Amino acid sequence: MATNELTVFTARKVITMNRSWPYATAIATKNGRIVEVGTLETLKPWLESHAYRVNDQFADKVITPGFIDPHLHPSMAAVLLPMRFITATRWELPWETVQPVTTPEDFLRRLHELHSEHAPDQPLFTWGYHQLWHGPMSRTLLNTVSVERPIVVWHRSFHELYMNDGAMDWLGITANEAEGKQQIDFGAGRFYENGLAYAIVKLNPYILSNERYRDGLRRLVEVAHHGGHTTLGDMAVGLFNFDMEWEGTKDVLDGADTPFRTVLVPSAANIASMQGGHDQALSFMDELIKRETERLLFPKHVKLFTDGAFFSQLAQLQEPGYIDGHLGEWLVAPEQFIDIARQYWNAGYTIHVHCTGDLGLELALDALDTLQWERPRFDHRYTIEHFGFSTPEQVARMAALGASVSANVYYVHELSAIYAQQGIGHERADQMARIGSCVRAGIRTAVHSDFTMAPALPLNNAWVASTRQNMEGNVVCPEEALTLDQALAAITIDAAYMLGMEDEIGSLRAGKSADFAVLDTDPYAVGREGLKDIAVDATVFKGTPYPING
Amino acid sequence: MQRCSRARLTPSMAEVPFIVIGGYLGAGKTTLINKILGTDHGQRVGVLVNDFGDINIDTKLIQGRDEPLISLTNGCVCCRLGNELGSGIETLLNVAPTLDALLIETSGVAYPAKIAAYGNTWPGLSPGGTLVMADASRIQSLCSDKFVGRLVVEQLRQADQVLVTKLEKGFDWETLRHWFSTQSPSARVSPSEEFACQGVFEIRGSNRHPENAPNVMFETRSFVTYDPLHPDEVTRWLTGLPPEVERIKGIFYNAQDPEHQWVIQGVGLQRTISPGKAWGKNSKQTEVVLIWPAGLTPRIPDGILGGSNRQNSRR
Repeated sequence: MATNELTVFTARKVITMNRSWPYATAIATKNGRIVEVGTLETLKPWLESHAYRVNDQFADKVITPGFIDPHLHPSMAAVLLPMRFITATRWELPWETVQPVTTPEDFLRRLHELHSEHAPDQPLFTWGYHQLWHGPMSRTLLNTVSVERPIVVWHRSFHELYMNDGAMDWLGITANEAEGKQQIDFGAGRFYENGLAYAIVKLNPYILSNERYRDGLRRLVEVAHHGGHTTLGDMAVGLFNFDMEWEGTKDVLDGADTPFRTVLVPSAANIASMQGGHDQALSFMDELIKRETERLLFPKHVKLFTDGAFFSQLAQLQEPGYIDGHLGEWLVAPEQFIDIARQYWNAGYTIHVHCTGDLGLELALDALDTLQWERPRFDHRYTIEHFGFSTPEQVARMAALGASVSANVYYVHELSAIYAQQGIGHERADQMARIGSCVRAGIRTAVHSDFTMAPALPLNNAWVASTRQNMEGNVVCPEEALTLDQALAAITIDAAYMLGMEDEIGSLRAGKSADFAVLDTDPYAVGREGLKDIAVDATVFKGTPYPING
Repeated sequence: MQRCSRARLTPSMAEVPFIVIGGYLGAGKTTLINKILGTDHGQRVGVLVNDFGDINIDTKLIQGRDEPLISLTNGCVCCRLGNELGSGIETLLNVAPTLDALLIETSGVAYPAKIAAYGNTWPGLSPGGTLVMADASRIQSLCSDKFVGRLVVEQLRQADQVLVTKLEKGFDWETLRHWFSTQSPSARVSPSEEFACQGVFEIRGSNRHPENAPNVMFETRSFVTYDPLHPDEVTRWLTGLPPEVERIKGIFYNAQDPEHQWVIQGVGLQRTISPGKAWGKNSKQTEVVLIWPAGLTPRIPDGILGGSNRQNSRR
């Protein structure tokens, strides 16, 4: 309800991310919007002429702009989060802290525990199994836990799964149809690659059922809140099924108690497939703005793809390619890519391009070069998403053409060592997510989680971006690290820019939405190394505090 | 606990050959698919396509549309591919358990071998070979293209059969054929004008291992009737079929369970009926195909299915 009363939040320190007015200790707000940022002393001209109330619940905390993840996938999160995690690494979830499980014996013990506490009439799904820690897996082993209850053990990589007898029976997968097939090891209950696709077709009616999907989205709300987010970018709406995703999004993410807004960016290919062509897709997208609500936004942004998945080593590489000689994949024919990009470019859309390899990036930049030649646009914000492999020369070209970068910098943490050994060698693997160069070239640069590909923890991402420390504890290519300040900008004001909302969110200044993350520690006091250990105690979304418990 | 999905009842011995039609954009894949759908080759084909918009079927041939499917009067069924290839395969195998072959038109940037691997994996399918199409006027420059050069080279290398299109006057076919033979060492190379649609069903085994090529001709007879049948009658008719009938596949409209398709399977003298999925929007009917080695003349009892039928030959 609209009010003339001001609410003044006080803090030990306010980090505004407004470079002209960087620090403060008090923020006056009205109706969810910032009136002034300063100190109780400097706010006086406002406070003397308006009724106000001081909210000092964060008086000993540090307030920053609410965090923004400009690229994650609520639909994928909704599939993963209802599963139980048994993982080799510690995993912080709002409802539990998953302790590392690093031996075959402990994996089986944990599976027994989950079986005994799980509702007896429900199938049990686990995620996080990895043979390097958990040893060989098989249907026989899973049958020792239960023969009757369906048990599905999903691999950490998502690329394979195992089932017990109960699950095979539940899904109606019989020896008659599955025995002797490649990529299905019927005896071991193992399904991988195309065999996994078969298992997923059987599982879809269950994992995409309304009830389970909404449960998954509600869990995503908790996860995003715990990470300190006040804005998310759903960077490929329609990945599974536009209508199903939209219904779920409306039911859950638009709730009056959801502490963040979601910016929805449709995937052009998926919408074209649903609408029967790219022309129809554009007309469909032009109408989406009518569906906007307070928390669900459809700006004129669109998602395109060039090359394959980074985690699957399907990025398209320039010479000399992968060590083993395998080739990457195109997700669209290059000559079609430019036609599709042209359609949205000429219609005034902001284009986001999923690019993982340097050849994929080359295609995206050739297209941008052509479009700029045909019909120049200023402030177009053509954004390279993920930005796995690149060359220094491409960074200069991006700057010249006016592209932006939203990088999945977590690649450096999880994959740099293994990709050096089993992918492309040290030189190129170490330089993945070349974001230091981007910032130096004046390119707007944000980082994202691509959740579920990386944890939805912005401070952790800022830590990776600024330290470039990998899982093995080594620092790789410190030349490409961001400074602490740049890393914080990459999860706040520069992330807002990726969604075209820097005028509204991403920093704390008069006139912007009162979206805060409330931290227990000052990032500038602990430095880059300490970023990942900072706790988020609460968020404030449009002036309303949402505490985070424990 | 409610069952998640029902087992499909296609027996492993009745696997449907999965034939891949690949090649880069503009090579003529859709043209070939249109030709296959419009030609009377006696094969009941399921076709997975990226987009119905490109498929040009004589409207007289269309029996019914039920998104994502179009069924044709010649027994062929087209399915529009959504996000997942697997769902498309399942949809087709479920609506048409009596298919002779399943054809997929890949996207122009797919590696055909990756798609063909589904023929080895997917229950109900067997590998049916890979045909790769190439536009004669463009293929050599595509092979050195900055973005797709390595892809196109790889597509050709993975072919069992290369079909060369847009061969205009002035092309030196022998030189071109030689070039293709170095690009696709294990494939047969043909100009598209000399390629009969029937050839699509003969890719597998006819090139790589000619010594193993099945050379037995089969004859088939299929029956269609729209009246509900009593399961005892069907069983009696099945067991009365002579032993020369090597394979039987089909579905029938069960008077005692009118809501579900019932599946008929037969290999040798093992002949069974079993409940299948709900009819849903599909028209209720009985369709049976009998298959026997060419040259034999099994006496097919008239009985309940003796009505409308047609006879075909095939390899």
